[in-house]
Amino acid sequence: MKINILFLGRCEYEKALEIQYDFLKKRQNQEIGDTLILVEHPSVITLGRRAEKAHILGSEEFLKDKGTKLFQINRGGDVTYHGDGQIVGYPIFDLKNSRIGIRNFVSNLEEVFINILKEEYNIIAGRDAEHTGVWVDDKKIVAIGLAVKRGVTMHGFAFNVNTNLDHFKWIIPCGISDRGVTSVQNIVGRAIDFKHANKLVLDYFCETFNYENYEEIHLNKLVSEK
Amino acid sequence: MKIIQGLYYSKDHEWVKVEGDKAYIGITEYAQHALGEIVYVEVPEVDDELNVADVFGVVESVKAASDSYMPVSGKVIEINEELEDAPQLLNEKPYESWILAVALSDRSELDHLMDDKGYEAFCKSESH
Repeated sequence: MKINILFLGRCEYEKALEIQYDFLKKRQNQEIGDTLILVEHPSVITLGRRAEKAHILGSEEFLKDKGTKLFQINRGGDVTYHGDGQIVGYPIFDLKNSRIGIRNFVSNLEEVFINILKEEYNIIAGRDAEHTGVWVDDKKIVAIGLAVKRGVTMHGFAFNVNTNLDHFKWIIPCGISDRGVTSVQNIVGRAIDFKHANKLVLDYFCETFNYENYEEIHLNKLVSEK
Repeated sequence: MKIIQGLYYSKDHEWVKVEGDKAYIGITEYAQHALGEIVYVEVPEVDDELNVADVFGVVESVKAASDSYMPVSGKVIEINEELEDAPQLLNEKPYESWILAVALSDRSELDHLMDDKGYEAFCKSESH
């Protein structure tokens, strides 16, 4: 079994959201196979279905000054931040086809990063019984928030590699006020090769979800095939 | 895996309990297990007219918001308000915790659902 990989590079949130919906529809109609979209977003704050506006600490004016837009979206979870140096991944994955439930899917996602952190960066990370995501001590390094529509997942994960952690002060991440956030850079004390880290996410994703290989796809090619 | 006799079941792992022209709808033991700990349930409004396969709500677990689909068509006549404060009831007592009740608009749709035996076989085929 193979997975499609789409590297979007640095891409505005709304553009990537449009692409997600397009891929979601195609996956629901079985026009494409499972696809992982990897992207880096310019500074943006997104609110999940149950997010409380009170968990955004910066005023709208302040955030606007910082070039940071707000998006209310349909994923699970509360408030989160995306920005430079963070690997955001959107698995467009047919749960019905693979016959794993969402609970196991999320657990596998967590495992992808627990393994990367351990094997590649010598960082011990783990799960929290109460709060989904990947944690290093009491600090979150990977946030997860998904939606499942007709058995296909969208939205996904945000892995702090070289993220500017100061920007998380603009929000109460995931609505949890007594915990912090961290990044690989923050833990190892130097900036991480971002391109290499993207490749690691892909490799470990394939390994954990049992894909034998992947095929890189390109947006323009998909469009011309229509 | 607990499956109750006398209910109708959908391929989306919902159960339907028919009482006269009224149908109670909930999720099965299999569904709650696959979802994990449920923290939130979004339900439709009373008087909403929903068709079979329409999204009637969203169940959130493990930071994932999963759409739920109508196994039958009908007008919503009741919502289980208990779930607003205690969504975990769907995990604890899936067959007692109905999500909504509708006035069935087409009883023949029940013929497309499975009985307990059919659903048991379906669950086995789903889990390899």
